[in-house]
Amino acid sequence: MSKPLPVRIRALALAATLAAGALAAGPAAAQQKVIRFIPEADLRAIDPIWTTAYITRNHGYMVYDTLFATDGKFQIQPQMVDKWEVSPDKLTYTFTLRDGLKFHDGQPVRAADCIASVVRWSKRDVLGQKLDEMTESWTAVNDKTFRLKLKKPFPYVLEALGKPSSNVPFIMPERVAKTDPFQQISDPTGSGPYRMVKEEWVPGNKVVYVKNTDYVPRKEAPSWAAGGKVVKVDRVEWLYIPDSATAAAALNSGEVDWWQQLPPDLIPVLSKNKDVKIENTDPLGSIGLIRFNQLQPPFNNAKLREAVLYIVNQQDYAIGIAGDPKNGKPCASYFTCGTPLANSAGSAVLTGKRDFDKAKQLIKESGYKGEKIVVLDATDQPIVHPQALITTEILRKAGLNAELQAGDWGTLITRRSSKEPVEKGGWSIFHTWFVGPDLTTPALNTPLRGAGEKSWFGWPTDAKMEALRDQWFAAPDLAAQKKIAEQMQARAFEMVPYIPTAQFIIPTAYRSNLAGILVSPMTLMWNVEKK
Amino acid sequence: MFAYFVKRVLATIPVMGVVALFVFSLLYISPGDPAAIIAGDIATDEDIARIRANLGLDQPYLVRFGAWLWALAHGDLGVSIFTNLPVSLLIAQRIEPTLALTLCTLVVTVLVAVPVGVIAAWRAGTWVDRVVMGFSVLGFSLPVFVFAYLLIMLFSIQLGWLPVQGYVSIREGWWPFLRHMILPSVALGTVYMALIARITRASSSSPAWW
Repeated sequence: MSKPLPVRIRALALAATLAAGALAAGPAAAQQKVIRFIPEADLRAIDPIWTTAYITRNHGYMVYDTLFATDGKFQIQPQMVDKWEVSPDKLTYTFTLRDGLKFHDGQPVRAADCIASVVRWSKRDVLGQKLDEMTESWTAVNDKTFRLKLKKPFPYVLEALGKPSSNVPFIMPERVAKTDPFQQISDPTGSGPYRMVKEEWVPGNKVVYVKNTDYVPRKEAPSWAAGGKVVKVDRVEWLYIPDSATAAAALNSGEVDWWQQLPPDLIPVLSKNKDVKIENTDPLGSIGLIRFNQLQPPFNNAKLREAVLYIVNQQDYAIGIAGDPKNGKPCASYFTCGTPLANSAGSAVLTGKRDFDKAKQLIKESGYKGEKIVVLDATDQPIVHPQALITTEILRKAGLNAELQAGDWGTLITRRSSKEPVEKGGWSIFHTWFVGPDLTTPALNTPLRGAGEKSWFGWPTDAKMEALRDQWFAAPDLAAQKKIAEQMQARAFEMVPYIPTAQFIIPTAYRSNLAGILVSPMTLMWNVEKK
Repeated sequence: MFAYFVKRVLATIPVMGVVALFVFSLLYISPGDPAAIIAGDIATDEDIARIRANLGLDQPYLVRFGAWLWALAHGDLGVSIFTNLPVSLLIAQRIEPTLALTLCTLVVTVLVAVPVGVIAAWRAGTWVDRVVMGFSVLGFSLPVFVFAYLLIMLFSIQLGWLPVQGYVSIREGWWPFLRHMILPSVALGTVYMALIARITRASSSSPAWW
């Protein structure tokens, strides 16, 4: 026969029940429209001029506005600018701001703010530096009008000011924009459609934005970063959830509304939920690439880089990165496929039959003596990791002494800045990716440059490529630009500054009560409504 | 007792010193250049040198270590290179959730493990005892992250009772706070529940103390 539960235990159970009932009466949820969003990465830096990180660029689009913007037809449209004039000699540009522009602190946006912002940006950005080189002066005519004087005609002024991806020339208050471009700002005051609530920012966890009620959108329909930026919710919370299984559960349960980048292996899982939509909102996708260290052996030898061209199968990389063939495809152009300068010059070496015998012959001709090839891997980075595995495998198959060195993405971006030989912590190959807009033109395509130690990590030297780039800047029209872009690409397939591996998209997933998500290479959060 | 306490505290100082030296040295010998990373993809050598000087990274190792120790001794943990926020603020932001989770895990563990252990002792040798001890073995064996996913699947996705993730401060209400604490506390407390339930059963099974 069982004994009854002791009185003390029964009392405890009763107390627990009463307490639970009392606790259930929490404060009623606020009636605000809030979008809870899982971004691609943690927002660690808030200065989109100081860093090129895409997460910081996306933050920039939340809180700042731009003078011009690129639309979905690759056309430059005015954004903060109302009207502008170009002198007949094409040396003077006069810009007038539209009415109603205000910063989050209530101060009007003035010409001085725009000048200080553009000048700071032009010290850091690749196209900005070119504009800076061509600039004689920036002058404020009055509070709403300012003038740019050039040393010689530069046909890319508006393209520079409407540059869609990192670094974007966002407009900040003059007091903020006066900060040294190599020092990060700490004040997120902008004039964009959202305002950052800095007090609620917890790096590694949460970023909060509220609607900027003073923002005056343009009348035009939104198209990429151009057109009317109409905010249809009160608040947006970016919740950084690094564990993809937890993120999937949060979206499945309706706890979050939108997951920016859905890992390919979770597509089948979330597809089963009828309340979740999975879409491709990025029309250009991203481009993966293999980058060689040209300062150190063995890839300081062009023949060896050429050998790798013959064994890279872009289809393998596309599947490795995107998982589903629908989300990845070969792109054998050094300019983003689907954009005006994409072409096929010299690309047969990458699109033809994969030829290990030819590669082995080139390796032999290169004088390769079995030097160790260090391939950096970032196992926590789903775009980098499969590329590193595939590359290591094909290099070994071709008889090269490839060693995969696994670490995390943070370690990779630290190590890739090392110019030392592999024995002293250096590297031979790393993989990364660029979003489509970043590789559309020679002005933007950073890894294509051949400026030696001033080039991007890998530091190729190629005077001919640099000369072609200068010619491109002087090209009078699109036809001439295309012709030079073809020559640059043919040269790239000879010198192999990097190898494009695949063009891929990472779909976005959101609850079906969201509507109006814009199709754009950047994740933009205006026009989105929550029903 | 006080003398013992002081002695123990003093003994930790050289240990902390060695740990600080070790960690600082590890960062120092790591390959790569923080200034180059901060400078970005298109910076010139002069730009990188400027950043290096701004951060004091051009100073010799001992000078940097000394400066860091001196600032630390004055309660200055510096500013994060990436977030540009004071390191002390970043730590402070994490103290509340850490303490809350620790406390809730302790409470949940004791609230579950002690009564269950007592019941097992009380029904020693019966099926109740065997079930409790069986779950206790499972609690030891099941990795926390697997158990956490199972909890999420049941209570968040299937039943929709509790949130999958996140933290809400107690200042925003008891119930929102507890709702976010229950699953992580239970997940983290499982191993301890299993341990304490077994200890309680063992220590309660001899005389009928109630």
